[in-house]
Amino acid sequence: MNDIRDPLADRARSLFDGAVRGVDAATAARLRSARRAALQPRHAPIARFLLPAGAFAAAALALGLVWHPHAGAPATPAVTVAAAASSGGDSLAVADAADLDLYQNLDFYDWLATQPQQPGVAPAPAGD
Amino acid sequence: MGSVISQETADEEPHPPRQCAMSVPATALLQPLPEAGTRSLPASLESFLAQVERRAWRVAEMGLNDREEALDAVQDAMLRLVRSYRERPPEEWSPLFWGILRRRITDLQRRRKVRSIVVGWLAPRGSDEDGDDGPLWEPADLAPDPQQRLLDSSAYAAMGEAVRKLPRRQQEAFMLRMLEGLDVAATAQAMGCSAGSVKTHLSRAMEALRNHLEDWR
Repeated sequence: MNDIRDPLADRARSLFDGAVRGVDAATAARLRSARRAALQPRHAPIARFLLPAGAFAAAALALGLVWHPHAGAPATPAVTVAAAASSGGDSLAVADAADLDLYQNLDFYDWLATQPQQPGVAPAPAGD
Repeated sequence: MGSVISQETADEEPHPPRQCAMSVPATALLQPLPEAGTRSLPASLESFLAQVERRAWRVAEMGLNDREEALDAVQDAMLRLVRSYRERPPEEWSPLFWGILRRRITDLQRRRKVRSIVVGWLAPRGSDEDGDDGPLWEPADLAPDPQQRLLDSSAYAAMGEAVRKLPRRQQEAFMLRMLEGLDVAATAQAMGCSAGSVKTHLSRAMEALRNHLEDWR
């Protein structure tokens, strides 16, 4: 360490080494904890990506819950009534299962609901 | 400071030449130093960081003159080394770490300069002269001689002040090469320059410090 024969350099190094030895306990503890924090396994990046993704998913879910009743509310009673009326009131389950089909043919079912009932005659399937 | 820092350390130099501080040729400084104080290669990154953390903090403190900012700089350097260079061979850790720390210190110095300019515009002159800088180094309790500790403490503070007056690149060369004891190649890698530039910066730094030493006498 002392190959350089320069008293100024030697003195500076000696003072520096003394200062390093004299680091107070509180600072030494903080340096140790900084070292441990730096050496901890890297979970942080995953958390950084998960946090916004989770927030986005929660926001999307909340938006869907808020939006869905308004979008479906007007159609649902009419569809249910139409399906119940057209099948004699005994096939609500069929109406639920055919929701997608009903949404795609709302005009037809609206028209169908306005038609007079003919006992014993089943309406034609929507897709036909 | 001058009288203190110019004291010869009897334990290091059995017959120290009294006039040597002003007369040693700059080329003497360019002889090789043992790497980082003859420290052996660390077995793990943790042991490396444990080995350098206090020295790094002292270097950062000397460059920034602020204990908290120095802690932040060292912590940031540790994080960056671990995250980016963990897989590098141990012999590369030292120049990489000191290079990261050097850049961090430079960033903080620049930020502080900008902040001081802005504050200087907004606040009246002299409003920040609160005089609460305090000593840079509070001596360890284990030292045998309180008077010597006090002298060393003030000498270290004065040395830090003198080093901070140097141009940035000279500061870096002095701290890495002289205080930390990196060899020329490692210093050059940490500073991001050639070995010749390191020698030039170091030679100028030592010359400037000698001039300060003359003023202090």
